[in-house]
Amino acid sequence: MSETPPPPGAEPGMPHQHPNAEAMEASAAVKGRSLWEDARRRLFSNKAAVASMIILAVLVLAAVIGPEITPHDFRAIAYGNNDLPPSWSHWMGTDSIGRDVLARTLIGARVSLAVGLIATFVSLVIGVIWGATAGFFGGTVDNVMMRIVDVLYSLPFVFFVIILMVVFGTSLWIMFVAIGAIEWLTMARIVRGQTLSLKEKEFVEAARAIGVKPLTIVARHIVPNLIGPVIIYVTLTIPYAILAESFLSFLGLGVQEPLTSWGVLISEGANGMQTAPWALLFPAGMMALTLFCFNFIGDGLRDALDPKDR
Amino acid sequence: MLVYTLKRLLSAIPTILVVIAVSFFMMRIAPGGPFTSDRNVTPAIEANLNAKYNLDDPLIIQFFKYMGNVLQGDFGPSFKYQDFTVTELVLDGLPVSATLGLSSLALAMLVGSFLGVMAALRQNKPTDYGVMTVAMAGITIPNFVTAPVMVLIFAVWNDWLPTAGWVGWDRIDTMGGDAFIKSLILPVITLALPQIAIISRLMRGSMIEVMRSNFIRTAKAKGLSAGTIVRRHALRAAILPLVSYLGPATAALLSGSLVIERIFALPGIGQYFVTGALNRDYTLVMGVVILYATLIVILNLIADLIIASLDPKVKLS
Repeated sequence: MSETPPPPGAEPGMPHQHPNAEAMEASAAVKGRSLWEDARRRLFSNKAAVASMIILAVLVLAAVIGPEITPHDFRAIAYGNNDLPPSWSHWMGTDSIGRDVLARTLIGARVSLAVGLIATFVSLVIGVIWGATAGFFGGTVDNVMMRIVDVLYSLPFVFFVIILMVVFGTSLWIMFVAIGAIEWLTMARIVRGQTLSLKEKEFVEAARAIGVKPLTIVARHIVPNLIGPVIIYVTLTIPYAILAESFLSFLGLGVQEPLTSWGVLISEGANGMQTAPWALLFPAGMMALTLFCFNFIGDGLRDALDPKDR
Repeated sequence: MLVYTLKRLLSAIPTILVVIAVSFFMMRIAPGGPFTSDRNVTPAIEANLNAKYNLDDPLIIQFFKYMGNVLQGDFGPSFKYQDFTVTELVLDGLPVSATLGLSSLALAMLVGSFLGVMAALRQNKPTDYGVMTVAMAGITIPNFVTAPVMVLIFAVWNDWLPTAGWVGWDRIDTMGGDAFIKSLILPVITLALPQIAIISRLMRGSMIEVMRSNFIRTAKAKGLSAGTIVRRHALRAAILPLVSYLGPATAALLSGSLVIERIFALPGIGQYFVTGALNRDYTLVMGVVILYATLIVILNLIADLIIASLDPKVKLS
């Protein structure tokens, strides 16, 4: 994508790695850019990614402050006002019991985005710790840990999330944990692969030589160097978590009334689409837009952070 | 080959056992039994019900009893549909789900690989960009969005197809073959859509790689026509990733069918599973999960065996 090749000093991939003396001299001469500067420049030259970031920022802002400033409460039922088409007082119309679709869609955005972010965070924590430990210790530990991941991979996991929701009731916290628990597997594999190649690097050898404890090496030297691939995968996991939440909520196993989410809204909208199609189309459209944005940003980050891939 | 097949079969068994064990114990850790949600069952009746369904045995005994029954093909009585066994309910939904799932799988494989090959042969041309844009949309937008929207367009706004409902094989005589086909079109297409997208991407990547390989250059050098090269040489090699995607595709179709069967009110296994989950019908939910897991494991196995027999580079070990 980018026209200028990275300067010799900014060897991509290893921000913590000590560059060799030759490269340092060269970079001093031409004023080198760091990996992150370089990545940011590449990311901002990607039009789809930039547009997605702007749209997403607007959406997040709307989800955070929107429900506070819309004139209608998302729970307020008004029987005389049911199935109204979009108008100045109800920008997205009303649903079959007279609730304002705009207010509901914004609350839904808040819940869906929150579930997406928190569940991704859960998967991030489990996946990074699991993968880094397996990759760093290697041998039997690695074999056993990755064998477990393999077995879990071959299970129909959505069904276990459903069992989990049935068993522990449909609370938001269970949903964060359940979705996080299905998304960590790929993260663990990616992190393990990176760790395996990182631990052969000289700076890890140096740390080991001066007697740093293994867990400290993992925490201080391995994990910080994983940031690039992990960021890419995180942006790609968020839409999956949002999808999983909506899937469960659509089936009635996720977010419960009076709280709402995109899945609940799409399910309600689908039931009433003969009389109020807008109650289906607006939440569905906003959700599709969000998922697109995350995917474009993820692709953009991959191009920006992984120069080998281009 | 036989030894390899047996080995793979043996390695599949622990996976299925893990599925049974995990789902069994997860269901039983649950606070509240299947009968506590019913309207005011007196303690005496609840005790009787628990005794009837072995719920008052120690957990580990219940587990072994259940395992023994499952091995004999008996998944126990349904807790909610009390006159039926789980096996009866599953068999009842099976023709619906199998028709839906197999049609979608076939459609996804055919259309997906066709689009992928087309995109690969016209790489970086409008066809390619068009296919890849549609694929991106298909992967991003879930089927619980596409299905209602397509119903809105094709059944509500235009009266071309039914909004929902199932005709079924046994009612073709009374309702006619075209009613049967019409009731299938929207569910099958919306279930297949995400898979079409994924498969076309897979196929494009694999085909592009194959077309750059040496044996294709040799075929060109021999003066074979473009059509022959694609059909006789490239496709055979490019189809391999598609075969290994069989297992994941099945898993995705099964979870997609939960949504599709609900939207289109199809009386399949997915419907039983969702209502079972909402009703805490332990035995029904577990029966379906075990069935699905077995299906996925078997399809992964079949995929591996096909690959092993197609690809001389894969060593059977």
